[in-house]
Amino acid sequence: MNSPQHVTTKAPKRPSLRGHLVRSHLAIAGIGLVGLALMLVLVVWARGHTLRLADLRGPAVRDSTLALAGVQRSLASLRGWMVLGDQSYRTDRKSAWRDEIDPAIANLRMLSARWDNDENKVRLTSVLTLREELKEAQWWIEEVAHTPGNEPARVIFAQELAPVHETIVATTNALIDIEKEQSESGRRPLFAAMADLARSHAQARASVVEFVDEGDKVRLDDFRTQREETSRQLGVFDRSRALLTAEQRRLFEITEAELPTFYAMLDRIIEARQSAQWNVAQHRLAEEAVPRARAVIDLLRAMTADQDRLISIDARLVTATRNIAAVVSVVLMLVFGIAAWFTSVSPARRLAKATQRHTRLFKNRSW
Amino acid sequence: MQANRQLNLLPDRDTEPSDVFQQVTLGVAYASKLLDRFPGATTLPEPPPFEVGKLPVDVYRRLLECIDLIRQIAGNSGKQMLELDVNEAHLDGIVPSDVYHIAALAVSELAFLHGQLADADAPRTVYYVGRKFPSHMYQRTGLLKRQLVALERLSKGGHDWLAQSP
Repeated sequence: MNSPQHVTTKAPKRPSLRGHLVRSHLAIAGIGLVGLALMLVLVVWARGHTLRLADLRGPAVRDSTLALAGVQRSLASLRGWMVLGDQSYRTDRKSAWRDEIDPAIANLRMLSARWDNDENKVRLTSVLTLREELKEAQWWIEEVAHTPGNEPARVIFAQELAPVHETIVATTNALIDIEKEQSESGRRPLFAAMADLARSHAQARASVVEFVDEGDKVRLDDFRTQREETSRQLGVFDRSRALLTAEQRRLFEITEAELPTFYAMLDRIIEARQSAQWNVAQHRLAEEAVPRARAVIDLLRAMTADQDRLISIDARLVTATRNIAAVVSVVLMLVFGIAAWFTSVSPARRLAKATQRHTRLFKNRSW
Repeated sequence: MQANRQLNLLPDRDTEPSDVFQQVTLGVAYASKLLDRFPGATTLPEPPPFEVGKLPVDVYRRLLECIDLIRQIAGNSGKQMLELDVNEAHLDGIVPSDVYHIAALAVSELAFLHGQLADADAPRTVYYVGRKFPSHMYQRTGLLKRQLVALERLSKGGHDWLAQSP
């Protein structure tokens, strides 16, 4: 039988059992550490993308969508105010700017410091400029929409034409009243001319009123006909001037002097009504507010679409990273198992042999 | 003939608060064009709240403050403006036509500054606003003052802002 000293004297030819055990345990721990480090890298990578989704991409989409909705709401409220004149639409427009557009754009400005997409930064700069222009354009439209000046043709009508019209009506009525008292024969055509003059004058004005109300150009044809009729009646008067009384002549001269002014004003009213700016608020809406709102909407939509695309990319990256992490975990489990098997079997076998030998020696001694 | 008619109508027509309101609104249009030269500046701030019971003299005082601000803006920009010294005793019995004249002065000074801008766009046209009261004038003058306060602060940056293209 070999003594224990004999066993230890043979041992230096092979690595000691202690060294073998240390190496096998360190190998297992090393593989575990490498696996954990790999998993940590994957988790940090996924965390970075998840945080970017939660803190940057998501809020950017939310804020650009909120600003977009705010611009549309402000425009809808402005149209509501223009059409219905209800004060609640003004309040609503202000609220769209105060609660939606301004805070959303302020948030986008903050977020833009962390954007890596230069195109979106340029878009945001354009949005900032257009926002101020749009806000101002809306303010001016809201201001003018329900003032008399919104339709300049009506202001000329009320402020300038009315006194001239009243003068002509008063003088033609006075002419007719005096004529009623004249008893000489042969004045019938003159009386008819006075009545026709009064009628054609009133009808010319009425045609222009209808044109201003409806914008129907047929009324302009009526107006031109009545204007010619008035000129014809003035000719009749002029030819019958000798038949007029002194007072009638004075009244006729007033009418004759006022009529060119009256028709010049009607021409101005027609011109103002035919102009593109006949309704100032509508014109400003079409020329200033709507194009700017469309430009802002297009920019915000492009930003939203871009952020959506980036969200999809980030989401795919996070999913891919997690899938890789899952695969790596499975591979590590297998590698860990195989490595544990190979690194544990040999030392275990040697440990078992040594233990058996010790046991046998112990039993022999006892005997 | 039309010009003659309007001239004849002038003596018959009193200046009304709506005339002052339009004049001050024109001032707002000029001020917003001036503010537009500063990137990121709010060209039209929120107007102050409407206060009932204001008199023409209150509007007159506020317009004097506006003129003082315009003079400071002009000074910041290397321009000179008229010095206006109004004795407090003269403020008794202020009527809308007095307010109109002081508003017209403020607007003409703003128009002068606007005229110094490189590639200046014309300000928006102001249309007849209908009937207004001194309290409306006071609120609108408050809006103009807010614009001018902002412009005075921004113009402290130097003389060259007038020459800069938008």
